[in-house]
Amino acid sequence: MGGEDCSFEDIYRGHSGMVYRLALRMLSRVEDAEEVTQQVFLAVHRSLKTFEGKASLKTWIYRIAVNCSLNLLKKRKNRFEVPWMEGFDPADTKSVTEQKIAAEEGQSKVADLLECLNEDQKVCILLRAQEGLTYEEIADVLHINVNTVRSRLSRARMTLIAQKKGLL
Amino acid sequence: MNCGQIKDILLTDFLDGRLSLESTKTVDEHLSGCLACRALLMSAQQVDAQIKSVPVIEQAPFHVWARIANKIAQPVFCWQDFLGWGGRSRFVYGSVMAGLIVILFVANPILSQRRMATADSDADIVMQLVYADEDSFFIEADLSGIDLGSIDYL
Ligand SMILES: [Zn+2]
Repeated sequence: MGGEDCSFEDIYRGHSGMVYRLALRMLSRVEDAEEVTQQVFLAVHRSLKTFEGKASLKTWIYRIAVNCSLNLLKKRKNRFEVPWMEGFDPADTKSVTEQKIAAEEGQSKVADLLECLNEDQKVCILLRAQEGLTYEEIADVLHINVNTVRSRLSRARMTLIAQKKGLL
Repeated sequence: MNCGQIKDILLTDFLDGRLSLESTKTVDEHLSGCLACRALLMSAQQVDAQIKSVPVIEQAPFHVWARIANKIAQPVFCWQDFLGWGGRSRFVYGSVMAGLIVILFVANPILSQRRMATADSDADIVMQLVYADEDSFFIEADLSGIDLGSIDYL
């Protein structure tokens, strides 16, 4: 599916769910997931004319979504590392975060579980287990080779199993 | 195949269905005789199932689209758009601008020479007028300096 073949609104309808889901899992906050979704589709709208269809539209949008999520995650981490400068308590934010996730998904356990992974592993396992992408598609999205995808998934699952045993 | 070798395959290729029929058979044979590897596989399947178990979100919340549509609808001033300076037209614009610059450089000395010549002839005409009809020229000049309020004095 090329960028020229369908309208921007069609593209949004077909892909907003996957972007929002991924961002929500990456960032654990509804507001951040909405922010990422907005950023992603504004970027898609700007670049649609130059999208050459070398990658699939889905892969391309996932790539933008991963980049935007990681950028916002980095910004948020910086924000949390100096909370006294902005005058808020990270513990407060966490309880708000948990409430939001619980309200939105009733699945805060999953968010807790994923917290033990580093960002690379988190992206890989989400693209595989949640989004159902193949190893080749994940490699394409992240610009890495399939062996790297494989080893990240192996480590992610190993860590998650250990974490789950500790949690239960 | 021992447990150490099989562990990595279980957590990736086997779980994700990437093994050939023959390799799958080999792993299955190991699993049937190894409780530890069966337990590991089961744990991995549970982890994946938990991640997959999120409620299906087919669309982002509607107000996100409303915000995006609103942003897109706002005209953003951009010089590149204003000049049509993007994509394929960039080359055309570059050529046209280069041409204009060359024309200005070549034409400038010619034009300034022509301007000097024009200036000379204008001065000549003025002088001819002054000498040919000195009175009428000065009368005209005087009248032009008088405003309506002082006409009564004349
Ligand atoms: Zn074994």
